Amino acid sequence: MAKKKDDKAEVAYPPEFAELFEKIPAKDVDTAVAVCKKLIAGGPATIKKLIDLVGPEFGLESGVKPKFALHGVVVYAARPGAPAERKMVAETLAAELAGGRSKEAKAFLCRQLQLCGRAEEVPALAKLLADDRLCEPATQAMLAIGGPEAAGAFRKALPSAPGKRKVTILKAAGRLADKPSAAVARKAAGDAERDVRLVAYYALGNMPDAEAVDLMVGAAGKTEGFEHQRAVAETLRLARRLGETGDAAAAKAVRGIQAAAAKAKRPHEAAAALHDLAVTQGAQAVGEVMAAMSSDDLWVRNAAARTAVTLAGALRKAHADEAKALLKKVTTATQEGAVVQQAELMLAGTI
Amino acid sequence: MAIHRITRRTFLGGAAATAATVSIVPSHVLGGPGRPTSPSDTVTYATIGNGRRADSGIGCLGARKKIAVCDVDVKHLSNRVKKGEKIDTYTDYRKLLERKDLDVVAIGTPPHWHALPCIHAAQAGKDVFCEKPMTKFIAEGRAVADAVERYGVVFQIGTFKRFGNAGKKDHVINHKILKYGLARADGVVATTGARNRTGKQALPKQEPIPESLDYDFWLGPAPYKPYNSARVHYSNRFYWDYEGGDLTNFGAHSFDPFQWSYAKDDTSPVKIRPKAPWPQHPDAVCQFSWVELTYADGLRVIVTGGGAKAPYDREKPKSMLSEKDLDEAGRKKLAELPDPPKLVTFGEAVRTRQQAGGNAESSHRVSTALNLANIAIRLGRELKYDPVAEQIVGDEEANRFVNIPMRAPWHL
Repeated sequence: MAKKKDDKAEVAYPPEFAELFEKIPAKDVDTAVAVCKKLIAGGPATIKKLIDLVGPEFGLESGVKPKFALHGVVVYAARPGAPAERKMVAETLAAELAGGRSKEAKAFLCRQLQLCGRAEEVPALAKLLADDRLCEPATQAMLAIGGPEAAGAFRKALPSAPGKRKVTILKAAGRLADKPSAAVARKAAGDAERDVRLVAYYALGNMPDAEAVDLMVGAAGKTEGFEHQRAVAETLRLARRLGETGDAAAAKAVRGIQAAAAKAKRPHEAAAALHDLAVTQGAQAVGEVMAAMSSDDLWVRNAAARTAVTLAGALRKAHADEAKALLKKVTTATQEGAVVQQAELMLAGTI
Repeated sequence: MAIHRITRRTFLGGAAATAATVSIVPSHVLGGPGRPTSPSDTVTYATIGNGRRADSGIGCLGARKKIAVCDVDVKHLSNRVKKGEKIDTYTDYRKLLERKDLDVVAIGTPPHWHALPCIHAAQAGKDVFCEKPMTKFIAEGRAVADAVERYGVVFQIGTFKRFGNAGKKDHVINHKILKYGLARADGVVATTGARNRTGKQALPKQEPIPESLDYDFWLGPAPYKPYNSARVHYSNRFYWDYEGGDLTNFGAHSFDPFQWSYAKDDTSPVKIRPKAPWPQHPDAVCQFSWVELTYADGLRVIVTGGGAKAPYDREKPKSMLSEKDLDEAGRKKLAELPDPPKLVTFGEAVRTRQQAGGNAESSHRVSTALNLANIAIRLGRELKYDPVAEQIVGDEEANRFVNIPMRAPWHL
């Protein structure tokens, strides 16, 4: 029987595992895969025993080989083309989230489900959203899984989530672009806690919530420092996301930032607004990009020239004249060699 | 019609900027009163992360003045500020970024804390010097590159060998042949090595968190795990939560100049084949033997680690292309096409608002290649990658490593 010293007691691995543990990690993948196949063939009972052997605490010496084995099983089972194996492993891990295992053990299982879990495992993970220690690992697994089940679970948990868990879950709803959570996010944008406000801006920007344009532009205008920087960034994210579907509110969001940046003389924000105007408005932004290439501010001028080259590349086929005009202007507007060369090569048709 | 994902079109194409000399332009043309514009103008900077690197690479900035240091471990702050020195100290970089008198931040944090300070610095209008490896996972690099482009800030990665390659005639010719597609790179192999140190797999002792360290902030976007001194500060690089081991750490130094020489600054490998002991530990970085990264034009880059003593077996390869690999028409075309512009140093770029030689897009592509290598190692299988969509093809489990969820309140 193979024994491992762990703290003061020697730990014996059950014989059916000891021989397999000796073989991993293996120099060649095929040897290790053979071990994983044997463990998977043992079904849920074997997987549960492996979890037992990993142990309740993080970093146990006796848990090292079981961790290699269980993680190997997870990775192997979740490979393309093996849905039945993945299903068995993921179901077994998810079922162990409800029992009496330690929080560190459950956190480890969440991290494995982050790789092998699918929609079917979301309900088991969602139950952990109510736990201060496990909310984050469960959330990260659910975000990796994605999809409407995960979004729905976050939406359900959001209204009653307190403190740090509110931040976690609101951010998650935003990452999954859960529009039904928009009303909660809009309210959270006025929260007393800065962390809550900041993830609310993110959530509204990523959903995207067209009704939040005025709120976001307003937040960017009345806040200072880091919060202002984040509000501007998330308003521009809102604009880009709205622009993906041709929503007219995209331009309103960008112009709000543009006006404020000009008034406050913040060239980096002016450059960002111009860039995102080009992204969202395409050919309609050509005039403004051309004008910005004549700016007295070198930051704005050079940034505009780079934006112009990218815009010209996107417009070449459908708006050839506008693209050509942009590129010609670039060659005189900036001294940035790489940008000028790019424009010249595009004008010559070389690239 | 809106342009979708316009930032995917990387127009710099690996060749960064400039004219042969920097001319001193009157400030009313350069604009921005108070902004440094000439080589002798002093640039103000601060360091975020003051353990080992701090401002080790910041000499490329030229005339400069350090006005602040920031670290989540106050012991590092006291180590960096000499008695009587007038340098402000911060434990929260977000507060530091609010300073109006700050031009540049030098980021020397662990890699899990590279992307967010880079992005937030761009949003605050600060130029960025960032230690390599640029990022911990692929989506971070894209977010940094996009933020740098959007806000027009200057970014320089903390590795510089590409500047040397860009001055060598044979590298320039190789670069031009591949950049303009005058020949394919089948049979061309570039090889480099990385050290192969590993993390401790067993960390049984429950250690108290040092009073000087804000561990929650040190973790930041990384998953919570119980504190152990083996996982923080220098040795964090051997844990997947914070870095990718020596492959990403040292690999960046040789991969970055390769990427310039082989004109791959705007793309990524399409096939990644690993040779490493397997399974890998879920927390601690383990050994690897080699990873073969193949590009669409046939170029192969091999990163060797030597683990498990399984050398990469190959015939003697060709390492670069030259005019001899072209026919007469190809040689004529090569002569007609322009050489890549001289790479701009960070100091010059900051003062003239150009993109630096080691810019964010090229650095993102370096990190992508090395992160893909690690993903393949961890999964024990070959991967296929789409460099335009920036997704792994046909492998959902692998794709879960591309955009790893961050611990709240942090996000990309």
